[in-house]
Amino acid sequence: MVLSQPNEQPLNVVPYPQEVTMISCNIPVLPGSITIKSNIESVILSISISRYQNLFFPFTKNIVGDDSNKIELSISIASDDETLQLGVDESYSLLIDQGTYQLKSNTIYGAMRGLETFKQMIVYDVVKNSYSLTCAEIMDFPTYQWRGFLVDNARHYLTKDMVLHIIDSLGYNKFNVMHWHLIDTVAFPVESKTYPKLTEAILGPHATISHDEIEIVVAYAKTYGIRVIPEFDVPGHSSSWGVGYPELLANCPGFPASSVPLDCSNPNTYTFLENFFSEIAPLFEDDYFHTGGDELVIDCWANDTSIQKWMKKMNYNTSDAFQYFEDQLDIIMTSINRKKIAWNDALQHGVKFNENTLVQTWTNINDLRVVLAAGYKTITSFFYYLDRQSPDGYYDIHYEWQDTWQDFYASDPRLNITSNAENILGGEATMFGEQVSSVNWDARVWPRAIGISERLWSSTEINNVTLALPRVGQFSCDMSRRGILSGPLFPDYCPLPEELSFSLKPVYQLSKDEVNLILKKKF
Amino acid sequence: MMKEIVLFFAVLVAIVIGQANQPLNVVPYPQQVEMGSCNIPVTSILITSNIESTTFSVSMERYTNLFFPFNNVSNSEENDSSSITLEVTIYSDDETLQFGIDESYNLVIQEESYQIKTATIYGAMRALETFKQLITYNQLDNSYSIQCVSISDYPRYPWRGFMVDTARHFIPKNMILHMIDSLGFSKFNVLHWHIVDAVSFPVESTTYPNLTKGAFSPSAVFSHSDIEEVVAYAKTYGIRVIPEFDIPGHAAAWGIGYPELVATCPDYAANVNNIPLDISNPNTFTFLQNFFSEISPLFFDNYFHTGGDELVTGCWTEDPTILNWMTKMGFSTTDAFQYFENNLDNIMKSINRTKITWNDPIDYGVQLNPETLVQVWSSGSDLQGILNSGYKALVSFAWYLDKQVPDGKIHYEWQDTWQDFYAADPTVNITSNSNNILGGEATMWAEQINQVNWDVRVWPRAIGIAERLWSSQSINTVSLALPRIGQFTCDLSRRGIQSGPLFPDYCPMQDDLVFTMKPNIKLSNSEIKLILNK
Repeated sequence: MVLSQPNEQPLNVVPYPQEVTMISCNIPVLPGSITIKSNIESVILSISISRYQNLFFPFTKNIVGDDSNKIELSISIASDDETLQLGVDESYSLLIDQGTYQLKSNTIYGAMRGLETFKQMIVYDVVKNSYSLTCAEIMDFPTYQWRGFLVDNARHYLTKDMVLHIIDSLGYNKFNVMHWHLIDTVAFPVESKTYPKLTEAILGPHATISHDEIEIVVAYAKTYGIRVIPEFDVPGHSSSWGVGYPELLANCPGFPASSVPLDCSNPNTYTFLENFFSEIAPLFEDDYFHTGGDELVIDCWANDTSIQKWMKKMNYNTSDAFQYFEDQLDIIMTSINRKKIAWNDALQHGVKFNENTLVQTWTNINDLRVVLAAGYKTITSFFYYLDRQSPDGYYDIHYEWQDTWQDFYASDPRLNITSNAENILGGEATMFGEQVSSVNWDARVWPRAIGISERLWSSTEINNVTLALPRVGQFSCDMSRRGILSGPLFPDYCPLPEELSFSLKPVYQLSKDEVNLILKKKF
Repeated sequence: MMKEIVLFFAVLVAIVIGQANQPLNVVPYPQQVEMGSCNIPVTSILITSNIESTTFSVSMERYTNLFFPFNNVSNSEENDSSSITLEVTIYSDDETLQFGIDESYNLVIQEESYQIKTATIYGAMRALETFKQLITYNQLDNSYSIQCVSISDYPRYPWRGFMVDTARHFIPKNMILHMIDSLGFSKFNVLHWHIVDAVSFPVESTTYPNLTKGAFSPSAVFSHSDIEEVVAYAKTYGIRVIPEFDIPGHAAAWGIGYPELVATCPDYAANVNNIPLDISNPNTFTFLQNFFSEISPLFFDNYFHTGGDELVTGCWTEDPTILNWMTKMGFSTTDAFQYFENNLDNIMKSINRTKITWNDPIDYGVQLNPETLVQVWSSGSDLQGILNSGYKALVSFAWYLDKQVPDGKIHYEWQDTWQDFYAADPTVNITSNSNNILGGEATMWAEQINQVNWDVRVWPRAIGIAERLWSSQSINTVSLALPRIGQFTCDLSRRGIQSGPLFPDYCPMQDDLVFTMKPNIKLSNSEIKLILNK
């Protein structure tokens, strides 16, 4: 056995595991020669296993090798508790040695992380047209428990299949939260039975997300150990609510329609939100619920005569009005049994959040320090804006656009934070959708977001671009063979299966029964 | 989190409604447009042509397949007028495709009359593309209609090129054909095929079979028949294919199979891009003569690109053999470079081709043959100097699709760099001899590109270049172009090109659409022969 040096990264795995001991063997394998056995019965895990078994061997024609070599990966999971919430144990250990193939974890979700690592250790040799399995002993766990990715379903409508395809790519990268930015100013694509006119604000015919589709997405994400958290962005970015229900909006002539917020003075606004959130929240299993709160155009409130009157009566300035709104939201969150997540903007307006609020900081590091100083738990996003031409501010310009992955990679969520850093639970990449649809989503995000996934999972010392590059190159090639449009970062050769095309559909089709079993719904 | 952009869009819509002086949703915008007042429902389109041409019939078949991306169209206004016949009249049956070919066309759509008139089949192809864009799909009632209009159109520049790099990553033949689809849709007319470079040599040679030892893999090689298929396929779009064999620099890959061809300079060897050909050895020129004589007949274009960029002359002077030879000849490095280019001219003459080079030799003080076409990739001020020296030139420096910041401007969104390309008029800051600018070329260098991400890196941004090179100089307002480009990029994606949006909108796609990265028509061997007049 060769213990690897900290400045070496001999294993071609992304994100790089916490502890790696290389073992000096390489086991030839053939398509069909790997079986997986688990000590527990779980529909969720069995889907994950069957998915990976289909992914192990992208090329199957005339593969060279000895078919007597049978490999059984034995999975041993300590607990059969399938609860998926913040802090779930994702650790695993993997031992690949001649005759020994063991994956151990505490939960099925740790086992999924181990399976992804195992998949990446099966190496295809294009010259020999053969496969081999790299021997190593791995002990692995995430540095950050919150490794999120924001998917914007409002600026462009993404079909359910595309969302599932996105989840595939997030799962391969060991992301564990899909932050689903479902609605925004331009569209309200979420079906509501309580308020059916909400979907009058869709971008086009059939551009809606039904309750059934939400359940499929939540169930599918669970087969990757990915929590799905909806965001309903209020009180700003809200004009789409007003298409079907104009009475919900403030009235401030002269302001662009796109900047009109909800009417915070009308008690019916809160009744509406309570009813709507009570309808929607049960579709999501997660304890957290994101209520947005960014970029409120607060002057609209000040210019609405009836809101003005109400503020005067209540003796409120606009800051107080925003505070009132957030307090009402807290009451609703309690009633639907959810913890609130909000963008950090309200703090800049002088609002005080409930101490249980999780703050998502998207603006800058100074604001992050303010959030931490006030004692909130937070997740950082400002480093990880995938839409920007220059994500790193206007200073660090690369020759190639794709090299912005290095900016993401360099950005540890706790970078330059000296106090309360433990309150940073992790981070979230954001792919806002103004210029992204299913057509270009993959190539906008990948391979650049690999830099984010490794930053959030791996040890903070794993931060050297030169050492990461060959691994990221191999993984990006691997992803493209799995149908994810992830391109290269340097001249190399990544042959793809000739029949490969990009369907932007999930690699595994869940049956209705499976969805129900995964969500533990009664029949 | 994106207030500014949303506001911008709202303002933009207001502007567009306010001054609708580009009323036709066509990209690149035609030179002369006279809007008609009718909008004709269509359910089927038959194209007829007055001439028999295999090349053009492929184009007609292709567009016939593309007109209606969605099937099962409801036919609420079922009547005879929903089946229309598009009559194409072409005055010349000369199918020669060379620089300066006539691409103009007239297109008239009115009730019961659908006419294309052109001088050549290539003009007719441009008209078919415009016609295709005039067919609008209405999702609400699941129907198609065509806009009545009278168009008289021709390109501003005769050279509208796109450089494809198959050296930094191997691009399979089918992907090259797919790229040609996307270029044809955008009315580009030159595929500049940067076929080899320092890191790989993917071109089969029967004369020098060891050259492909410099390929990434034995399966990563273009055969002669692959090249012929690419050239024939491009011809069905009126796209000329010009190979680039980049010498004397960027030449390391030649030396993998034939080490005697390249200079030896250990101090420079750490960067593979530093290794040039050995110019002191007469065999180098015999080799090039033989190899180019083998390869050039596969391409029928009069032009041939010999690169010439980023030569590292320090490698020459570190090589004792070359240094001795230079001393014997009394040559400076500039003289040596001059000697190389002169020898290339002799070879070009023998293979009957006109040379294209990047502008670097001129920066070194080399005098290029006055016939040489100079591709300027460095800067606008270099361009002015080159024009002043009397050369004809192509502009590329403004259109580097690989760069994070193509022209110093930082937009919020990366894709908005399309506006930089769009603003880059080839004549900007050019005060004399601008008529010697034949056009321009977009470049998509492939260090970080393969078939997986090519589409998304290029489109929709290169639409800005396509329109800049085709349309009138005065068609240059971003806010007026944006809605048209938005519609065209949606159209491209329905045709299987991964071209994304530039603003929030809705582009429904076919349920069964799969991005295959393959051409939209498969040419048979006999079609390839007929197209190439073999």
